[in-house]
Amino acid sequence: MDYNSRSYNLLLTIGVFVVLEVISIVMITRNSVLQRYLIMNGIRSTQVFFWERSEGIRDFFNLRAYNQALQEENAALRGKLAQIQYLQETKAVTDSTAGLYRWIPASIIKNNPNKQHNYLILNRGAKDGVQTEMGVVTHNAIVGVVGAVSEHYSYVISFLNKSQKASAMIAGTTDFGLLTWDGVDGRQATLSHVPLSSTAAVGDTVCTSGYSTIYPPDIPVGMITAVDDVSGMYKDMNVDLFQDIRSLKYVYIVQRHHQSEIDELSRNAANIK
Amino acid sequence: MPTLLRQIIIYAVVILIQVIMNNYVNLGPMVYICLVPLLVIYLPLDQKNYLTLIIAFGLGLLIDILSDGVLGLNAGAATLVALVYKPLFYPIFQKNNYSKKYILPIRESGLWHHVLYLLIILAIYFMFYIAFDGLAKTTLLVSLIRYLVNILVNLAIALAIDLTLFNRS
Repeated sequence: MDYNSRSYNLLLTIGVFVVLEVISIVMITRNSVLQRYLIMNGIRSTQVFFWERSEGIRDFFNLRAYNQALQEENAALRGKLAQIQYLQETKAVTDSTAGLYRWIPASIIKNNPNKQHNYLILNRGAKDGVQTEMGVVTHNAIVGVVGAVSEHYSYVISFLNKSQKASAMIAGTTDFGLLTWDGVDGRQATLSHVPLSSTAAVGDTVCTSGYSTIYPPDIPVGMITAVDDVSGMYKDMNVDLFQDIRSLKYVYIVQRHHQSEIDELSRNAANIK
Repeated sequence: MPTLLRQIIIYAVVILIQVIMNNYVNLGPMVYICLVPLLVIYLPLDQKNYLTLIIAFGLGLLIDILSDGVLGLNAGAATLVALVYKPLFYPIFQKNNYSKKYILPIRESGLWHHVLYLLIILAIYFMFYIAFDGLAKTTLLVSLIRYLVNILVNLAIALAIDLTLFNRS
């Protein structure tokens, strides 16, 4: 074969092009951010050094917002404390999910909420008892799910990720659906597949349902701004999120006690089928 | 300064600008600043096509890794641009017997030829990028708006960098 011929070069170009595109598409479909995190694990400590400093600068300019968020959380916690004290005094406490979860406070050292595939790095890792699949929340937001853990840090797949879904319900009812980010605005989400019988209206609060074991129940996350019937089958609702994840600094990693027992029960139930 | 060394320095600076903009400039989730197409069109015209494809793929993958993106998105889009940037150059710039190593700088080609060329290159680049970046997970209208916004924003940024870095004598 004439290795300088036009047709040989054309075939070589097409061959290389096809191979490179196939490699790209395989990498994309094996998505991806988590994959890159694991690939980059070796130089993670160097990156963390720069992230902590650059986030320090960002934190300085966001101090006012952090203070406000902490004040609001403080106020909410005080309110809950007062309620618990009142219930204890009146001996009305019959069931509480508060003791079902372990809360690990953490701070964000890297937050990139500027894309379609967002993630966060937290300053808590396996050493602090963090494991994959744990939920990350604040008092009024779903932040994400722990995707990978190193000794001192954890990688969180942000809720601001179109692949993320959380089970949520309309406060004061038993109507629930799937909450997903809309991919356009960091403070907008969609609650989909809500039963058609739901009487939820604009202005109602949406909170976590607790039906998955990742997020604790009853965390208020947003307010309904629009309700649409979808094909007469179910309802979709636009939700304004209460918390801007982009301005977060402090979060809680939550672990449900007896998680392994629940997982085993689920596996056994699957085997029965 | 030798041309190759100058080229490597300019590429390093552009990659640095891209990484800084991706990590620290917040233009919202709809906008993705991407300078890879600019890097690809300034690869030597007389280079073997398969080498150009491999270099473009490598540049895209490097940006994917450095700017915390989905691995393969920029790499695939850059490879597609590398395939078409030469065949598109000759008719758009109307230079059938062109023999220089690199595409014409703006000061020689004129702004409009360059704008048209960049516009088509960016349109091809973002067609791949947005199609594979979760098109199935969002509505066609949102994807279309995202596509147009990204082409326009990146055209402005690419022209600014083209004028300041690649067009210095």
